[in-house]
Amino acid sequence: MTSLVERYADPIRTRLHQLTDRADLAHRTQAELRTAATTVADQRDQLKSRSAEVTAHWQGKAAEHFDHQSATVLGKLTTTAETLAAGYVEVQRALAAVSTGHTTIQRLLDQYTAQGNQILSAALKLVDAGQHGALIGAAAEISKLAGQYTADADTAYRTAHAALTSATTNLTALEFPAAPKKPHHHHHPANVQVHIGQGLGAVTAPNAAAATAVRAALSQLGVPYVWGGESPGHAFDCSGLTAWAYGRAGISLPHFASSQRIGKKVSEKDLAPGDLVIFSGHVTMYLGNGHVVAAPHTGTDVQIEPLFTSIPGDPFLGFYRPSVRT
Amino acid sequence: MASGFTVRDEALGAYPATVHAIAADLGGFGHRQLPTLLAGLPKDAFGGLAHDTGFTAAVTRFSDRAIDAAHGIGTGVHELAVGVEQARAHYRATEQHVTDRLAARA
Repeated sequence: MTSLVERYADPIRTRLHQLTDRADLAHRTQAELRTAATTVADQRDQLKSRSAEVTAHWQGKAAEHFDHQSATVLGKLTTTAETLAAGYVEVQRALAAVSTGHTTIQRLLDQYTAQGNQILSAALKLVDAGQHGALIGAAAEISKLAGQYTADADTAYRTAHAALTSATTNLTALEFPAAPKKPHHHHHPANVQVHIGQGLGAVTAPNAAAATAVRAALSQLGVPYVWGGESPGHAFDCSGLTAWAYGRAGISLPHFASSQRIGKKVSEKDLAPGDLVIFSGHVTMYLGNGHVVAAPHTGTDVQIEPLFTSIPGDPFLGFYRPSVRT
Repeated sequence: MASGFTVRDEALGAYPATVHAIAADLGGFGHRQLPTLLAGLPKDAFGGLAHDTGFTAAVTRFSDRAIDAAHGIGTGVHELAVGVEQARAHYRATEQHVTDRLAARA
């Protein structure tokens, strides 16, 4: 007969089951978000301290540019740390809502079970005393009792549901700093002829983007080298020239030599026009026939020169083809 | 100075290694630590109601976005370090250029 009490408790058990979490794992989520937030904040403090050290000994336009970039990164670190911390708070709220709902419904189930069993037990005694109709009355009473407790369990469930819905909305609305856009690679037809000039004849680029970049770079021959320059017809530095040339082909490259290691890495035997020849602090663009176009250094102009892969004190990092996705 | 900046070379020289270390930390954070912390979270940790309300999915998306953000910052810090290295190389090249010209005039 105990099964009568249990059967009427099924709706309450269903609610309880919905609110049964893996508390150990959920708490781990919470703790890990807090760890992540703290770690990012620590990284920001380190970077801030180091940036202050170096800018204390560095003045001029380049230092100002660095200072601006540094401030941007620090801002992103701060935003990330704050967002992770806010995420932690939302997870904490959700966890509390689930936990409170579960505790409440478990208590309701226990109370109902105890009261239902009391009613049933009393009815069974009456049956033993000869009042055979007592059991029917007890069943009706237990059914009514179960209805009341189920309603209370539904209320607790709805409260938890509302809290979780709110936490979901808040968590989704939290914003991290935008990640830098990945370079956009177009599909280009293969084999494009480029006339180099200066007695070097014509070469075949691996695709239209590389051909466009080569033509663009060659169009700037004679433009003076200026550090940080990326101004066609006026001034270029090494990475400014290659970034601008590939920009003409719709491929975005950062204005730092070693950061232009983008796209497919190629070997020297597979070098093709448009491939970048990258050093730690310098970059040139391969033209073909053993030559490159480059903005070498202060006091020189954009020029064609023989391919080289060795600069004293400036490690060679490899050949890269930005027009081909890896 | 043709390059238009002044610098204490030893300070600038020490900086890239430090920032590279931080970039490596952030890169490791974005690529390993954070995914380990967040991406591997069991989806049923918060129960059936969390699944029904979309909270479990929101946690997954949140962790994915955190990983993207950490990766982007790691790249930004790396670029800072590269910029300093390049500035230092230009600084030295400019110094050498000026020295060579003075020597040629002498």
